Amino acid sequence: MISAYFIHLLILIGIYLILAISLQLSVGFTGLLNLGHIAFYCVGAYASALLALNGFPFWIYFLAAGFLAMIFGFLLSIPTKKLKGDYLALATLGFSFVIYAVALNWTGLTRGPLGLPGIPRPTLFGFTFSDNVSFLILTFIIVLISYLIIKKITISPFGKVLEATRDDELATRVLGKNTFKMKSISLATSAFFAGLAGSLYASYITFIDPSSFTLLQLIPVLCIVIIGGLASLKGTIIATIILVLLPEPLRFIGFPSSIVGPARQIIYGLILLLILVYRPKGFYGKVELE
Amino acid sequence: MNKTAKTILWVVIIVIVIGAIWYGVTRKPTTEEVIKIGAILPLTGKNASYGERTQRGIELALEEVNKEEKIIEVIYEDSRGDLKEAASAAQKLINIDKVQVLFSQLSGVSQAIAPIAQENKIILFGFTSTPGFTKQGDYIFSNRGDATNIGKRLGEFAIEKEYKKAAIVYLNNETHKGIEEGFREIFENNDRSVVISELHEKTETDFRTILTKIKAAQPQVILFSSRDKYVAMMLVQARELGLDQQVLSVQGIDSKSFLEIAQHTAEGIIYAQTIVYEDITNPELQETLKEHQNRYGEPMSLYAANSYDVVKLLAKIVKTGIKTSPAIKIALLETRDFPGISGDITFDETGNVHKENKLFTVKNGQFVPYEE
Repeated sequence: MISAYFIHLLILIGIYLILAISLQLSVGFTGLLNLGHIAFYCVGAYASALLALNGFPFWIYFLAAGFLAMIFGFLLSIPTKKLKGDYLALATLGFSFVIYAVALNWTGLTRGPLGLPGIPRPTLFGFTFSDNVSFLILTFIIVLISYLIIKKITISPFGKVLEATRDDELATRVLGKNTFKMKSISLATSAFFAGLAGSLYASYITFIDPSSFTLLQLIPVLCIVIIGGLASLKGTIIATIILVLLPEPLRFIGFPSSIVGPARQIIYGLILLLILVYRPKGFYGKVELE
Repeated sequence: MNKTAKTILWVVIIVIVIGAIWYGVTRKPTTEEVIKIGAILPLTGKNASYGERTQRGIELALEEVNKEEKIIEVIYEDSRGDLKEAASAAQKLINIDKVQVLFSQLSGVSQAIAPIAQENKIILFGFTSTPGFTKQGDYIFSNRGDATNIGKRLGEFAIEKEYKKAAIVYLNNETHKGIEEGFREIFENNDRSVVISELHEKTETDFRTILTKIKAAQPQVILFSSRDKYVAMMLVQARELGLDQQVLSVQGIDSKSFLEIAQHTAEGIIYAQTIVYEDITNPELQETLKEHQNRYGEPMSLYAANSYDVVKLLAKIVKTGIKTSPAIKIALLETRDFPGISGDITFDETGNVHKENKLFTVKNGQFVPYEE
């Protein structure tokens, strides 16, 4: 059954899509170099897993994951509201480390590095998404809704103000817009969707531990955003599909067993390098990051 | 990037692609008779040394079992210790390569793969001592045994030696937590006390704070339950701080890198594991131990012995004409006292083994069985 393997990959693409388009909202459209995205994903995954393990229904823990991440996003936006560019990146990076440390050390709640095994698959209206085909359909629906909402935001007048804030914050403020509030809303919305992605991830893999939420796990998502092109949702989708599928054909090259691991990673790195050499702004990039 | 750089980049890629295709073409085509095993190991990243040891065991066993006719093929996938990556690898191995058996290493990765293997009715051998791991399903096996037993064995030893107070430092994961609990259970049930028990993270390299606390608590024996390089660093730092108590440790420290870091401080450390060296009377297994020493320049480690034994056991089953996962599962459960380097294999109904943990020590820079 080749299809089962592809269904698995499509589910991963779906999860990454939600993560990447929501990161695109804060990084690409609002110009906030946000490295705290993986922390929102972590909060969502843990919130969802813990509620699911305690018997809450799917729609509650799924939305709770989103809203809790959103609260964290909002809280993060308060101390960082005056920071820009590299400074904001460092502050949000710090936030990622804090959340990681909490997940690792609050063993009473998260079981620390032992992780949470046996997370149930979602059940909705008496139907359990236990096989991967139905889970894919669920993921697809959630991706579609997330995409439409973020698309709507970006083409709305509010989205235009966000882009204006990114391009020239001072000018936007002169026009009487409260840019701090704008950035706050953008970061919180972005966090909300990251939380949903975390919830989907936890219920799909059925096991989470803090190692899934380190900075190393953020890098692929950030790669997608940059390779897809900042402020381009179309580019993000294409980049997600390419970057998730890219390592897969490498599995079929018959390397000698002694170098199979490193060889694949070297090639993967080379391909990424090539893409950036030929498309320095990404596939559909409109702007460059400060 | 200028033109030359681009050209160089392309040349590198073309060379790699041609090399890969050449290797792929010259590889002998596999016949239908071959049973496939998928091994999801940490081949790159910070856990790569554990994956490498397991891989050595597999390779040694494969050479032996495929000598006359190829009956087993192993397909390696790199997990990098990443759960998503491991899940993708498992899906690919099961659905495209049609493997009948999966191997996995590291407790987190094994936990993530277990539901996939169970759902597809594919046997999973987890090279992990996570307590309760094999209880997740009837297709989930392990031949390393439960970690708590290692702790219990060390606890018994500490009681024999009349130690009254013990200190423990352990790695914060399922396996080492199990060891700590096993040790504590035996030790404290015999009216002795664990005066201090501290856990450490994989990111730590400086243990002086913990060790200073231990020094103040004045235990008579110290248990370092962690992976090889951490135990080595703890040993060096403990001796530096003037802690001269007997040090106990656990399986998996039997590596070259352990001796390289710990140097002379390794002398006299006592550790428990299931591997057997001297008392193997089986000439075939003796031969393997020698072969490993010759090829890799170090004695066979427990991790290598674990994977070696499993491949040999599977080969024995496959030779009787059993080729599918459910049938292999039944044959595995029927196995009685299969001779292995890491102890004889008999599975209980959950698919776990109960091997006798033996005590080892380091003498003159060599890992040797402990004698009174």
